[in-house]
Amino acid sequence: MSKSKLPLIIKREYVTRVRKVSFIVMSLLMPIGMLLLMALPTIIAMIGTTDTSRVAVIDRTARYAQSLTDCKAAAYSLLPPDSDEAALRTTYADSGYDAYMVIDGNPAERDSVRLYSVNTLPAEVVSHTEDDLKAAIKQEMMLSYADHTPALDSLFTQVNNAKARVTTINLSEDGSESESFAEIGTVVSILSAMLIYTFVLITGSMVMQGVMEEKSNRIIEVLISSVRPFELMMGKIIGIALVALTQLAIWLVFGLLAVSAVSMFLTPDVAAAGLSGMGGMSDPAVAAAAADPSVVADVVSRLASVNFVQIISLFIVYFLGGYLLYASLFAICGAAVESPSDGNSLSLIVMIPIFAAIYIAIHTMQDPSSSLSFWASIFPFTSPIIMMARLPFGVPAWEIALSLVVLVGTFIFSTWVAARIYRVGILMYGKKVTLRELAKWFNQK
Amino acid sequence: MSIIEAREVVKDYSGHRALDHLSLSVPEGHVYGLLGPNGAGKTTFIRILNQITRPDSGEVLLEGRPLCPADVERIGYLPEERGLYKKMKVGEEAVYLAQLKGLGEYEAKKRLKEWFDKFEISDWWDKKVEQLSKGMAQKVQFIVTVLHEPRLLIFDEPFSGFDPVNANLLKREILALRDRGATVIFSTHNMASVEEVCDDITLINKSRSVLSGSVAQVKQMFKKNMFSIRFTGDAARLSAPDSRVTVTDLTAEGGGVCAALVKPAEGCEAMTANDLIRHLLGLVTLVSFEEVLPSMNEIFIKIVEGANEKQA
Repeated sequence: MSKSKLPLIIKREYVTRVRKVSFIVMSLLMPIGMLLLMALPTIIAMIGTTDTSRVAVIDRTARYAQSLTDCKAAAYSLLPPDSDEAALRTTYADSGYDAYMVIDGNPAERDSVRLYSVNTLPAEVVSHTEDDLKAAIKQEMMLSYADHTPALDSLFTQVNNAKARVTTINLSEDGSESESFAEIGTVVSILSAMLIYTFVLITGSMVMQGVMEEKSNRIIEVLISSVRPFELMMGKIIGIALVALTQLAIWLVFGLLAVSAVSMFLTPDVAAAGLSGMGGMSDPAVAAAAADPSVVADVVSRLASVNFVQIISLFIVYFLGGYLLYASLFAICGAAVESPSDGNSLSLIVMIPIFAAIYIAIHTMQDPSSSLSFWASIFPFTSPIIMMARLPFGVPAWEIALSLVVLVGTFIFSTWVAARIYRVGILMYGKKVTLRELAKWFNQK
Repeated sequence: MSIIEAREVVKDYSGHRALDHLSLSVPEGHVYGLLGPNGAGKTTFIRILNQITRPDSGEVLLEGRPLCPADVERIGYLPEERGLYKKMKVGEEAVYLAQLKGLGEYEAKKRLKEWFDKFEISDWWDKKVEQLSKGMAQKVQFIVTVLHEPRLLIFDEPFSGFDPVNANLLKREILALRDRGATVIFSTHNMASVEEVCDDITLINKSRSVLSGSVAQVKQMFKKNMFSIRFTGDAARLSAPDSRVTVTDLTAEGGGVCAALVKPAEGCEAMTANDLIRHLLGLVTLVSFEEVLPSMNEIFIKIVEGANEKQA
C-alpha cells in the first residue's frame, strides 16, 4: 500500500495560495483597518468627554441611584422614584438634560437599567454609570452575606464577577427608540458574525475555484490517476482551511500588537506629552481628557468585559465547522460545472443560507435569546454565524455543545455526499447539470 | 507473459454500456495499440486500468494479480484530455506531479533535470506554465508521465496537438522506453502511427473487442491476395484470355517498365505467391514482385463501416 499523498496535496494547495500577492496584501491591509477601527472608539471617547453629560435618573427601586457619583463625563440628577417616564421623555432635553436613565430592577439583569438619549452618549458616560452601579451591586451582595457567609473564596468570585449592564437606547426626534450599538458586546457580536460570514464565503469560493480550475485545465485526469479523488478533494479543503487559519493568526498577532501599542500610547504621561507636543492642541480640556486615565481604563475595561479567549477559540471552531460544511458543498459546485460562469447559479443556491444567516445575525444582535436566534444557532447551515453573534451575550454551554455536535455531524455527512458526487463530476464534460444529474452521479458505483 | 490481462470487463454508465465483456491481454515489453472510433470505449477501459473507475463486472490483472491502489506508481498515464496548473512554475509543477507518483523530491528533481536537458527545455524550469505553448506543455506532460519509470505506460491519443517534429521525438521516445523494458498501451485513431509503433492491437468497436492480434497477423488476416509487380514486356498478355491473373492499376513507369497490381483470377484463388510468379514469368519479364498488405487504416475502416452497415 502506498503512503498517503494527502500531505503533498495539502502542501501544494497551501503554498501556492500563501505565496500569492493577494494573500500578502490582505494579511497586511486588514490589520491596518482593524487598528483604525480600534483606535476610533478611543478617539471618539476622548472627544466626547470634553463636555459633561447631564443625566436625569429615575430609580424605581430607590436602591441604586444613590451610588451614582458625578464625574467629569457625567452629572446625575436624581428625580423622585415615581416620576412620570413618558413626560420626561418629551421634556428632558428642554429641562437641560442630555439623557435620562430609568432603573427598575437589579442592574445586573439585562434591560433593567436603560439610558435614553437622542445623541449617542460618550462611551465613558456608560462605563462610569456601570462602574458606579457595579459598586452598588457589590455592596448589596456583601450585605446579603451578613447572615449566611459563604466560603471566603466563593464570596470573592461572586463579588468580583458582579457586573452592571446599562442598555443604551437611542431616541429619534419623534420619540421612537432603538437600542444603540454602543455596547461593546454588540460590536463584538456583529464583528465576529461578519468575520465568520466573510471567511466562510471567501474560503468556500476558493474551494470551488480550485476544483473548477483542475477540471477546466484538464489536469484532473492526470491527478486522479495518481491519487484518489477523495484525497484530492480533502487535500484542497484542508489546504485552504490552513490558508484561512494562517491569515487569522497573522491578524491576531497584529491585533494584539496594535492593542498593546494603543494602550501604551495612551498611558497618561505619554499621551499628554504626545498631545501637547502637537501644535494647536493646547485646549486644556482635550489634554485633560486624554490624560485622564479613566478613558484608557474605560476602553480596556469594556474590552475586558468580553471573554476574548472564549470568543476567539469558539470562532476558530465554528469557522472550521462552517467552512468544512460549506467547502464540501462548494466542491460539488466546482465539480459540476466546467467554466466559472456556469458555477454562479449553482453556488448561489449554496450561498442562500449564508446570506440568510447574516440577516438573522442582525436580529440576534438585538435579541440574542429569541427562539429564532436559538434555532438558527443550532441549525448547522447558519449556526457558525448566529452562534458567534450570540456568544458575547452569554450562551449556555449545552447549547454550544449541541450546535457543535449538529455541525460536526452535518459536515461529515456533507463531505461524504460531496466526495461521491465529486469523483464522478470532475470527469464529466458537456453535461447540463441539474439536481437530478447530481443525484445520478451520487448513485453511480 | 502478459502484463495486463482483462477478463470479461463490463462497464455501464446509466443506461449506456461502455464496455461489453471486453477481454484482452497485453504482452509485456510490447507496444499495444488500442484502436477504435470515438465513443467505442477505449477511454473507459484506460480509466479502469488507472483505477479512476472500476468495472461493474469482470476483472483486470496486472502481472497476474488484481489491480490495487499502489499500482498507480507502476503506471504512467498521459490522458487525452490533459492539462497543467497554469499558475505554477514548470519545474515546481513537474516535481509535484512526480511526487504524487511516489518519487522523492530529490530524485524527482534529478531525473527531471536529465529529461529537461534531453528535450532541451532546461530554461523553462522557472517559467510559468501559462507562458508555454500547447506543444511545449505537452513535452512537459510527457516527461512527467514517464519520469517515475513505470512498467506500464498508457498514452491516450498522444500525438494530438504535437507538430510533426515533436510527434517524431515522441515516437522515438516511446520506442526507446519499450526497448528498455516498459510496456506501452497506446490508444489512437491515427492509423499511420499504429503501423509505425505498435506490435499488437485490439480494435474496439461499440464497446466490444472485434479484432485482436499482432499487427502482422492482422494484416495477414485481411490481405486480399494482392501483389504489386513491375515488369517489362507486353502488358496486354496479362489480360489475355489464358491469363490466370486479374490486373488493375496498370501504369507505365517509362524505360519500358510498367507497374500493376495483380491478384489470382476468379476460380484460381488457391494460387500461392510461387504459383503466381511462375505463371507471370511465362507472360512477362518480372522486375519486382511484392505482396500488398492492407494498411491498418483500411482494416479499421472496413471493420467499423462493416459493423455499421450490418446494424443498418
